[in-house]
Amino acid sequence: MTLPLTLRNLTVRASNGRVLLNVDDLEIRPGEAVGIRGPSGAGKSTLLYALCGLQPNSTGEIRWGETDILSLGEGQRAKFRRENVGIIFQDFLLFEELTALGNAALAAAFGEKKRRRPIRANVERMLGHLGIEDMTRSVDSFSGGERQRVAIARALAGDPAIILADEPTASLDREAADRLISDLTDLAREENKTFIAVSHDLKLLDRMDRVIEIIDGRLAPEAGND
Amino acid sequence: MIEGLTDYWQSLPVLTQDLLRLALLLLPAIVTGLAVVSGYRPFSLVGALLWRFRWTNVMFVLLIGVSVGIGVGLLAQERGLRRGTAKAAEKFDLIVAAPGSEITMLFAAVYLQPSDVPLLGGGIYHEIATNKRVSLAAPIAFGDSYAGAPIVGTTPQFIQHLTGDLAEGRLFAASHEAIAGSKVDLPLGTTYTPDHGIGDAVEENAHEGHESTIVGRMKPTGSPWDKAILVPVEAVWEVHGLANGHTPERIDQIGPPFDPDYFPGTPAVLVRAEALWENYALRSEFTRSDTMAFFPGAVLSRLHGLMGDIRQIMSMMAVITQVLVTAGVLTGLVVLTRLFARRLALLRALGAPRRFVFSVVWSYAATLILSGSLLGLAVGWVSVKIISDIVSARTDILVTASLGWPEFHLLAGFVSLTILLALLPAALILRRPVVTDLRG
Amino acid sequence: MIRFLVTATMTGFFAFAGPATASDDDHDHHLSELHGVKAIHAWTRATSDDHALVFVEIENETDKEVILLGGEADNAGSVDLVGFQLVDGKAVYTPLPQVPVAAGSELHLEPEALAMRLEGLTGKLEKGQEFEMEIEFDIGHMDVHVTIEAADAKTHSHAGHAH
Repeated sequence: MTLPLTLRNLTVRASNGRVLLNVDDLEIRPGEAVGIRGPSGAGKSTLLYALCGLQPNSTGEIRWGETDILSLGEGQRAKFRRENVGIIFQDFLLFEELTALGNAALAAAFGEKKRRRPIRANVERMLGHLGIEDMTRSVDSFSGGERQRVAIARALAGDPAIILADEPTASLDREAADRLISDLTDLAREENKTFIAVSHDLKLLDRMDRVIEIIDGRLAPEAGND
Repeated sequence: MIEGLTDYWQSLPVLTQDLLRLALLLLPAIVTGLAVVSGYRPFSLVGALLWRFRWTNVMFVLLIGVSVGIGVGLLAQERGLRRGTAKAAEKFDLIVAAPGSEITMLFAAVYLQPSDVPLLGGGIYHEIATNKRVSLAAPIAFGDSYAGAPIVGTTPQFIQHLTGDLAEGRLFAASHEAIAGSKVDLPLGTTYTPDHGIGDAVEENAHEGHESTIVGRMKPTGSPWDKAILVPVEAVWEVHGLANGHTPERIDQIGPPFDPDYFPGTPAVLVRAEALWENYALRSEFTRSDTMAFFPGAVLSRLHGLMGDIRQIMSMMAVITQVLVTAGVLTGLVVLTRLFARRLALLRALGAPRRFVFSVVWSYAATLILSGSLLGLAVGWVSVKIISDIVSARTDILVTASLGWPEFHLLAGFVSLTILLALLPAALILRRPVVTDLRG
Repeated sequence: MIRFLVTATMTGFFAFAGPATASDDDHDHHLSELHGVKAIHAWTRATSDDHALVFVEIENETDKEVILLGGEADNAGSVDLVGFQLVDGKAVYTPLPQVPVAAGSELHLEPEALAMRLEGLTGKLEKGQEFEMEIEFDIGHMDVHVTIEAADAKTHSHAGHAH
């Protein structure tokens, strides 16, 4: 399944009422890879978290396919994320004491019963594909690159239509970052995922279909790759 | 309906009642647990978090364990002490003494705590000894000591009543012979001269020339009598320069009958009848202006009644202390959850339902509480043994305390209460802003 | 006039005597007598259990020993004379066949001593209420009023009053 994004009049405010982000119009095609760049504090991550319904004090319309995520309650937003969104973070955010398999298949712990088995199967396939041989080893002993690959497997475990990544290469050395970029973009393309990544990494941005820029909480005129 | 239930409850065997009570007390914890984790599998995650903060968790578990252990240990100890003091008094059916304080006399005659008490004369003793319902009337005369061991004058019949056959040696047959209690550190054949008085008030050499020899040793009684030296009551009178209870013609006689005219007096008389109702009849008969008759068991039970009130307060205090410690631990947990707030926020970002995150935090706290309670049982079990030994050594009353149903019930109540309390930090964690936590 | 005075005096007398009589009644209520044997201040504790202990002071003012044997009560299946014992640290009440009361002496049925044990109570015993029961002696039966005291009472609320 693929989902197009239609975003209209999105305003995100801080708890004190200050406007953090104001995007009038943004459309992303299903299966499109979009990079978000911009100076620090411009609102890139805010946009990313808003897209999956995590950012509080958001108004406007964020429509994934037929679903306006902002009109959903908290429980339904969580369900939407569970079924449609995979997220990758800058510093991996793994449970150090769990194995690669345990981390990547985390969603099986809280997912619907019928989804548990497919999640595990998917994770094993994904970890193998990403070159993680010893899946039953604690991630404690993994390198940064290996950890981020486990995080990718976790993001793709539930076969989501959307992958969101927040500075996925920022904690990696160049070599690991390069491998991750090809892994991630290839996988997103192969599996026809809508892939949105916040990044300063030009190599990553180069591999995206389109790059949007955010400055002071607003979209700058597009300077896409296509 | 309620009456029917009460009747049914009372018809159940005691063990079943105890088991059911335990189950009922644990029920809130079990129901909460099932309700919180049903449908999810939070345990590997909880295990991971517990391991990550293992030293902090060990500290939390130790805190709960020690507070629970001390609480249940003290309660078990109080019960053990009650049983021990009762057991020590079991052989003392009815005490007849001069009017005064029953408690003072109980402590003096049964627990051998020194006291100045008025004496009963020969006439009254004779009246008691010849009463048709009395099967044993033994004078108990105290006041002297040797090497810290109280010397008690009595009759061979009383010793037989107290311990049956001797552990070694034979009963005294002359006024210069003595029987040692099981814990008196004097071998058979030891000759000693008694001191006048007991403890700090002792006057050494006051009874110079009145030597006695240990000729037998009693079996253990689990009472202060184990540390006493028992001599013929005649010997006590003789060393004080008094008549020895017998006419000059029968001066070498040991034990009853005593002649009222040659009976110098005794602080107390142990009286025993064959049937319980006869004891009550004797008590009624000898409760009068010149005598006081009481059952040590009844006096002790009143004291225990007082202790029962204290026990209730202690139970309450124990629970409050344990709950406070646990509340402290749970507060610590709230602080600790800040450390893994990012990971919990991650779960929510991945789409974990609120109830799953709630179940992770609650299971974490519940694991600490259950581990602490189990450790508390172990601490309680050990502390009870240690304190029992100390109390037994200090009081000479054999205290064999062990954890029992009341402690298990207390613990079950504690577990249920605190596991319900653990819902609080779990609820608090859900109030944290996800994005702020994700960004660390 | 004389008749009025007499009536007035009588009225006054009775008016004066009234409360005293009531008070005597109240005290008499706590006192029963049978051929020179008195039972005073019979009491028990409020309970919703099916058993209770009744305590009473018995005075034998005769010159012969009398024997207390037991009792009967309409609100209980059975009444036994029981004696307190401490067995293994626990309070136990053992049934007794009888307890004699020597001539001129008293026998106190009281907590941690003797008692009448009522088994199979037909209803709750509520504080402030009372019921009747019979105490059985070798010389006959005596009716007594049993006052129901608080569940944790240790004595009759009139204990210490002279009768």
